[in-house]
Formats: sequence, C-alpha cells, structure tokens
Amino acid sequence: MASRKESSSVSSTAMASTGGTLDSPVKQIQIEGLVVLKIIKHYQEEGQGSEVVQGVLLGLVVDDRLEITNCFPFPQHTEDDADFDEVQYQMEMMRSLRHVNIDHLHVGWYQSTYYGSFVSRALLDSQFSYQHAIEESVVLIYDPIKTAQGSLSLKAYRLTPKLMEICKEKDFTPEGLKKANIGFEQMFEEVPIVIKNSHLINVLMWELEDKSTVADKHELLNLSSSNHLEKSLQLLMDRVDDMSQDIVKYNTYSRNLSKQQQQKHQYLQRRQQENAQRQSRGEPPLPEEDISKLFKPPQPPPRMDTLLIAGQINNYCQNVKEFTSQNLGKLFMAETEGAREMQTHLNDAHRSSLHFHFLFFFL
Amino acid sequence: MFCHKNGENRVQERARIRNLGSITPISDIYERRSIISPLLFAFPGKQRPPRSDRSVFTKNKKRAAQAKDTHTHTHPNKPEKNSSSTLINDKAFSEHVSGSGCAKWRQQDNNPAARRAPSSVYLMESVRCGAVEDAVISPAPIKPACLFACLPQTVISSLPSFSKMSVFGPVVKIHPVVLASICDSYERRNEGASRVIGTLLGTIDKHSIEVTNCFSVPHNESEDEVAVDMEFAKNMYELHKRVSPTEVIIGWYATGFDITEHSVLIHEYYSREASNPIHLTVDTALQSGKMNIRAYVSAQMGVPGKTVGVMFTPLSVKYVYYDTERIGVDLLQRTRVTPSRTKGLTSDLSQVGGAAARVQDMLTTVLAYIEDVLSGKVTADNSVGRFLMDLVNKVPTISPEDFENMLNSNINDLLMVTYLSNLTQAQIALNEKLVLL
Repeated sequence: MASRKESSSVSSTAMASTGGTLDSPVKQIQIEGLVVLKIIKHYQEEGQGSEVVQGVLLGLVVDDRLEITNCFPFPQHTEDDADFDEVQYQMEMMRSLRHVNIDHLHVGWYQSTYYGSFVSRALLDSQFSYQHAIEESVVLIYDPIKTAQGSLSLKAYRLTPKLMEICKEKDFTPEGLKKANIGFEQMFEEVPIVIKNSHLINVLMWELEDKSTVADKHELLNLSSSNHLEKSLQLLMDRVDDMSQDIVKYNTYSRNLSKQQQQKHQYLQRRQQENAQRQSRGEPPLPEEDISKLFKPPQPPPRMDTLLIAGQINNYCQNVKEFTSQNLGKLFMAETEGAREMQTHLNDAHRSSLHFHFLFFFL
Repeated sequence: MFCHKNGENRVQERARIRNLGSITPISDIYERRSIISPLLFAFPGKQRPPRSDRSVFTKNKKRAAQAKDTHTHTHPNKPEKNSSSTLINDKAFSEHVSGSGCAKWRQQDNNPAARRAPSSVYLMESVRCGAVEDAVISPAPIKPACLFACLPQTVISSLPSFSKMSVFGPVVKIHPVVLASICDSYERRNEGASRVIGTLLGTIDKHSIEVTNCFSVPHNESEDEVAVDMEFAKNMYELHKRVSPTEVIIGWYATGFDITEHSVLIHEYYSREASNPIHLTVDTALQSGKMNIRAYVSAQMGVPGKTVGVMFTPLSVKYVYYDTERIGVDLLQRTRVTPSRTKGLTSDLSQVGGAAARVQDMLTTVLAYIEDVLSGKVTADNSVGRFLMDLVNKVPTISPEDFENMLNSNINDLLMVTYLSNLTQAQIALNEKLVLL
C-alpha cells in the first residue's frame, strides 16, 4: 500500500517499490497532454471565484495502466441553475463525444484544490461511488497555485480497499475503525502519473516552440516564499483547531464511558453485596435489573471526520515540507552565490558580479 | 479575342504589357490566345475541371444556390456559359468596362490597350465554377498578389509580393489547448475522411480574437457535396456554454492545407452563427514539412450586382498562454525527447535543480557572447548591450551583511515550519494510536 508519507517523490523508482505491493487494478496512469491542457484551462477560466472546479475524465484501461485520453468540465453549481440536471449534461456530453470518436468511457474525475485542501467528506463520497461503480477510477487533484509556482502539480488518488470496505459498511464508530485497523495514512493511495503524447502532438510542440516568443518563466526560482507559507500555515492551523475540538469530544466520550463503566461496576458490586446480605438474612434476592437500561452507554462520536481531518493535516504537512525543501535548496544556492560574490567582488568586479547578478535576475 | 486587331496594335500592346511587367504569365497567355480557365490565366497552378451539373446538395447548399445575392456559387441553370465564356471576350470586356465600378481605372488611361493592362485586371472566379462567367475588374490599387477565392495556398505563397502584404483585421490569439484538441480530433477521424472540421469558441476583443476552446463536428465530405451535422454543433455549443458562459462561437477550423470550395460553404454557415467568423487551418498532414497554422477571415470582393466572390484574407496568428498553461506546455515539451514519448512528473527538488541548470546554460551562453565581443570576434550589438546593462542594474545593492541576515532569517523560517509540520504529523499519528488502544 503506497502510504502517503512516501508520496513526496512521485518518481517511478520510488513508486515501483510500493507499486509492487499495490493490490489495486491500476498501477500507473497515463495522461495525454491534451487532458493536462484542458484541466489547466478550465481552472484558469472558471475557477477564479469559487474554490473548486470539477470535471470528468474519459479514457480506457489497458493492462494495468489507466489511460486518460480526454476530459470535459462540469459546470459550477449556481443558485440560478435550479433545474440543471447533472446527469443529463453528462449523458449528452458523452453521447456527443462518442460521435466524434472520442473515448466515452468514464474513468474518473478531476478536481482543483486550494493549497492542498481536498480531503473532505464530499470527495470521499464521490470517489467511493465512482470506485464502487468503476473499479479503476481515480481522482486527479490539480493544484493551480503550486503549478503557478513553476511545476505542474497533478496527483492521482484512489481509495484503498480498506477504506472502501469501511465506506461500504458505513460503520464509522471507533470500534469499527479499530477493527479495520485503518490509519489516516492508509486512506488514499497515490498512483504515479506519466504523460504521453502522440507523434502529432509532438510535432505541434515543436511548432509551438518555434513560433512562440514568450520568454521562459522562471517562477520556479522565485525566492519569495512567505506568502505561500503563510496561507498554508493558516489552513494547517484551522485544521489543527478542528482536530483538537474533535479530540476533546472524543476525550469526553471516553471519560464518560469509563465513568459509566465504573458506575456499572459499583452498582453491580452493591447489588451483589445486597444479595449476599439478603441471602444471609434469608430474604429473596433482589431481581436482576437490566443494567443496560440503567446505564445508557454514551453515543460514540463518529470517527470518520477525525480520520479525514487527520488525513488533511497530513497532506498539509506534506505540502509544507515539500515547499520548504524546495526553498531551502534555492536559498542555499543563493547563499553560495552571495558568499562567492563577497570574495571575488574585490578581485574582478565586472565578471563575477555579472555571474551573480544574472542569478538574481530571475528572482 | 484579339484576333481582329491589326498586327501593329498587337505588337504595341504586347510591348506595353511586357513593360507593365507584373504578372508575366498573363502576357504569355495573351500571346498564346488560347482558351484557358481563368485560374490558369492568373497563376500557373491547378487547373480546375469545369463543373457541370451539381444537383446533389445538402440543405445548406441549396439555399446557397438559391441565394444568388452575395456569393457566387454554382449557377446550375447557366451551364452554357462555362463553355462559351473564354477569357477576355472582348465584347464582355467592354461591357464591363462600361458597366460598373471602374471609373477610376478608366480615367487612368484611355488607351484600349492599356485598359487591358494585366496589373489591373483580375478575373474573379466563381467559387465552384471552373470557368469564368464574367470578367470582373477590380479597382486598381490592389497589389498583384491579391487573393482569389479558393486559390491553392502554395500558388499564392509562391508569389514574391505575398509575404510583404499587409494584413488587415484583428490578430488571432490561439491557446495551445485548441491546437492540441484539433490534432487529437484529427487523429480520431473516421475512416476515409481526409480532414476534420469543428467549431472554434472564444472571445472577441476590439483588436484581437482569442480562441480558447474548440470541439469537432462530424461531417461528410465528398467530391460534390458537404454535409455537416449542424444540430450536433448547436448542441455541443449549448453544453459548452453551460460551463463557460463567456465563450462564443467565433469561427471554425479545418485540418488540411488548402481552402477548398466546401470551405466556403461551411464558412457561410458559420457566418450565420457569428459575425465575421474566422477560419483556421491546421496542416496536420504536414504537407510542407511543417504544421502550418493559418487563420483567415472572409471578405466580399468583386463587383456588386454582377459577379462577386469570397476572398479569404489571412490574419496574423499568435500563440498566447496563461501562466499555468505555459508551465504545462513546458512539461509537455519534454515528452519530445524520450523515445517512448512519456514523461513522469518529477519531484520538487529535482525540478529546482533542472531550472537552475537551465539558468546556468543561459549564463554560459551570455558569457560566451561577452567573451567574443571583448576579444573582438563578434561585433557588439547595442541592443544586447542595453539589455545587459538593464540586467546588471536590476540587482539591488545590498551590503553583504544584510544579505546574510536575510538569507539566514529565511532559512530559519523554513526550518521552523518544517519542524512544526513534522511535529504535527507525529502528533496525529500518536493520537491515532491512542485511540486504537
């Protein structure tokens, strides 16, 4: 099971080791360039206001690879579209696409995310229903903010079989979860993604490179990180607050439970004592009362939310760590340049400062 | 025909024509005096066979045939003209001269010989007829390389003055997703179809048209007829409008190199959907070794009332990207290098390394250039020098201690955040274990 701790590097080598233990039908995802471009475009145009944009992925399954060849976006849920029928839209779209020979098999869905916050009940439900209907479906999470910082951030997730079991039974009590022995790390499994282009698209890429005069953006080497860090930490704090509330609830529950156990115990003991006394005195023993009616066990809080929150926190931490590692690298690079600059600035100002300044130019 | 002119005049005329010297084939053809289709008259190119009866129409074509107002499509009830109308029938010619639109031209020179100066005479072909119906004289100032309806692109571009022609009309800005979509639908076309057409969606600005989306429309094309599934197009447009309400139909695309006659029909349909639609051709068959992507806008030309034609004027095409699109395209570019055309998404630190390597490459290039200039191998270019000056001046002057401080505080921030996030992760793991106890 690919735990999300190891998902920081999506390179195939790391995944190969965990991929061998993946017992899911999908071990790799192959996406066409067109899908990537469409997802990016969809978010760019329609996603500025609301949090998430969603859409459907189309493709087919080949061996143990899931090939995603096309996608189409879903309209936003607006209030004035009361009579909007999602299913109908989807059916019509797929029917039309079939006419032009586009793969019309539903293989998953995609969603954009805001700073990595996507582990929610809604996502879980959707993915569960998808995976229940179509075994190999995945959800692609596209992070536009991270992409704008320089590297395309597209991740594919599936629910682990354990989580599927739990969702099926809808047993979210602590006992149920304990039985399944599921932790927040084993909720989602990440599937490695590979991008593949056809030859014609490759020709198009050459053509674009030829013709387009847009300068390379070097966002990736941007040293300013505080904005992103702030927001991530803000979200993390919110989640941790939620988590602590949940923990408090659970603690009260367990305290109540133990108190109740004690009370029950005491009651039983007293009963026994009394019965013993009565017996010694020759009186009939008191009737056994139904204990469970006297001491109603407190309602155990559902643990699913806790699990989700824990998963989300984990995700945030992951992202933050990735981000900091990147930035540390950049800072160390700049630092060595700075140190060198101090030394050689006196020797050969013109030459070396150009060197150094060029590096800074791209900040 | 010029047969009835006396020889002397003819010689004079020939000399004059030669002196005008714009399109030599015309003078040659004058000399040859043969019955040639007007296409050949103007450019030695494809010879189109005369179309006879075209009784098979789709719904739109019938309408087009009946609507004789603006476009000249086939006039199926006038086949006799094809055979008899040759080139510059002198009678017809004089009719036209006396008729419409060439007052200016006539004023230029009253000499009948000069009247036939080839630089001012262009025969407009009716779109599907292979022969001219009437000679139409267009106003003089049009440069010789002006366009004809449905002329093969190769022929036009072979004219020397074509490339220098100024382009009127808005600039067309295309997003890469549109081109990728077109290529993909070309790859998925039906058996036997040589090209694919579809609708372009986007937004119109004052000076530019931005194409942001497209979808393909099934169509059948044969020698004689074109059938396009219009309900499908409408349907798809409705669906797309649900998602992005700001996109409107701005034109249509077709794969392939030429503008064919069918294109004109389809274009006419689309001009009903959008005002002044643009037409995009993407050469997916790589006819000239490259994937030519061109955009056109249609314009009326000719003599109103008599013979009019449709002219496709090219527009300049630019590729625009959103920032994130740029990054996506960069990633896709990297699939070109691997033989299996695949590329995994890399981890973060290696991406930084990659970007740094690219910057380093750029640095070496610039440094090499500077070396060359300093040693005199390459002449210094002032504009490059100015760029370098800007570059050097962009760096803020910071004292080394301040710089150290900034760096260190930044590093400390990041380390702290890393520590905190690790702590949090340990915490939730612990919590979970406790619950399971």
